[in-house]
Amino acid sequence: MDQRLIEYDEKHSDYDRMGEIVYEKLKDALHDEHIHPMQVTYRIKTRSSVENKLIRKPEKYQKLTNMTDIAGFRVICYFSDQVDQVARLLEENFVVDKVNSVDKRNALPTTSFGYSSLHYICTLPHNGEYPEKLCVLPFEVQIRSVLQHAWAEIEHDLGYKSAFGVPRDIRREFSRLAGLLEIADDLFVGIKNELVVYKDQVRKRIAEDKADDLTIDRHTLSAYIKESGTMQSFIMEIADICGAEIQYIDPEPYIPKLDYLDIHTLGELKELVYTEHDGALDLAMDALTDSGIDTLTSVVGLYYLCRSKLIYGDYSRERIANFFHISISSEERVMRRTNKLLEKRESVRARAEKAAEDMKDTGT
Amino acid sequence: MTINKTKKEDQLTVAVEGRIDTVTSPELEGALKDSMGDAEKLVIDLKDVDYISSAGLRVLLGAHKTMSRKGGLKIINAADSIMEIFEVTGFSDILDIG
Repeated sequence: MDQRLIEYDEKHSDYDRMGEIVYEKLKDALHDEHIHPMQVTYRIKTRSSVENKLIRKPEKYQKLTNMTDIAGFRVICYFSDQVDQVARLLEENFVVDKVNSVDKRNALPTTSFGYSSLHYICTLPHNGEYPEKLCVLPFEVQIRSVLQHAWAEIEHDLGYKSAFGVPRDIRREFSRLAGLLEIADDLFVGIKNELVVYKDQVRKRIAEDKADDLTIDRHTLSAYIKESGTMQSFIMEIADICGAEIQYIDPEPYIPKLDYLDIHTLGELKELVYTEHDGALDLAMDALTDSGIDTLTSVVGLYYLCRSKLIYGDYSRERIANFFHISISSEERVMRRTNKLLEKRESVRARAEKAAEDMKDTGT
Repeated sequence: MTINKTKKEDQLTVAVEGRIDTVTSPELEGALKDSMGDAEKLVIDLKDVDYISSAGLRVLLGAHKTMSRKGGLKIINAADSIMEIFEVTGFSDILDIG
């Protein structure tokens, strides 16, 4: 039997062990650096696959360790600029064999478009943390964007092992598509960067109280809840009722609800805080005083403001039910919440009438 | 508190029985942490839960945050007393309650 296959059989469990270690280390490093790729996968080449490769290229693989992709990892990033971030991470955590690594993004002539991906050949570091026999086994990490991945997978799916096998016209089509996807990759990175700038500008304008004209979206609403003095002090007033801590959450589910109540800008939201402040705080006091609750979400301010507008405003039963329909699919639950809100309206009206009568009595 | 987990394809259903309070919340948190990694969707069945404290709410919020990156978290069979707590705290508007 081929000595290299005997060696493969002997080392298979070492490759398995090394693969698991690298996978965990890579996932931890990505998590620590807040890089969230679309996918991280790995596989150990099967015996038959190794055998086929040895047959196809006997000269190249005189030693088994010359085959650097027996353990193969793939990191698919959402954005093309994350490819270099992942590469830096690999350099920090593993020993990278730069001589045998290939940056296929730079390998293409400037006038061509095609397969573009970064392939790093690595080993575990000899730092005493891992068994020495695992630190001599090479592994390959392919890093590419999701669009680069799509291009490569489709080309592979059509059955081409190399560009030479592709008919000329089809090759040209593939090149055109690669160029298109390269532009798309750049545009996605541009969108991501624009969002960073936008979020920063929104925060600044809210802090300076110059954000009234901003349309409510996920970022403006989230920043308004966190940064606006008006909203923050209102939330804190509610939290103080029961001594609760505020847990910050994504307020996106509130956007269609605010839209339904005709609140489309941060200026209109600020106005809502002013007009509904007392009513909303009364509702919060009724619900939270002596409740023993010490955790509230950051949307609690919006919760009581919307309830106050529905209770004290001139909203029909149907319109109130439609408000609840925005987030609840169960008809029974919508009816229950509508009835409850209308009961609350009755009780606050009765309380207000009684207070007015008491004042009248005191006056007379 | 008793916790029963059932897995069907990529959905994990966690049925809780008893009180979710300061004492029992860590147990629920541990049980969810152990299993959420393998699940694409998480369903928490509160049919036999008669009380949930703030500590329990924080566990549900943590699970909601983890699962929002995947197929989401759904709460089912919450009793009226539990629904009341979800509502006054603002949780009812962010959790998917069936």
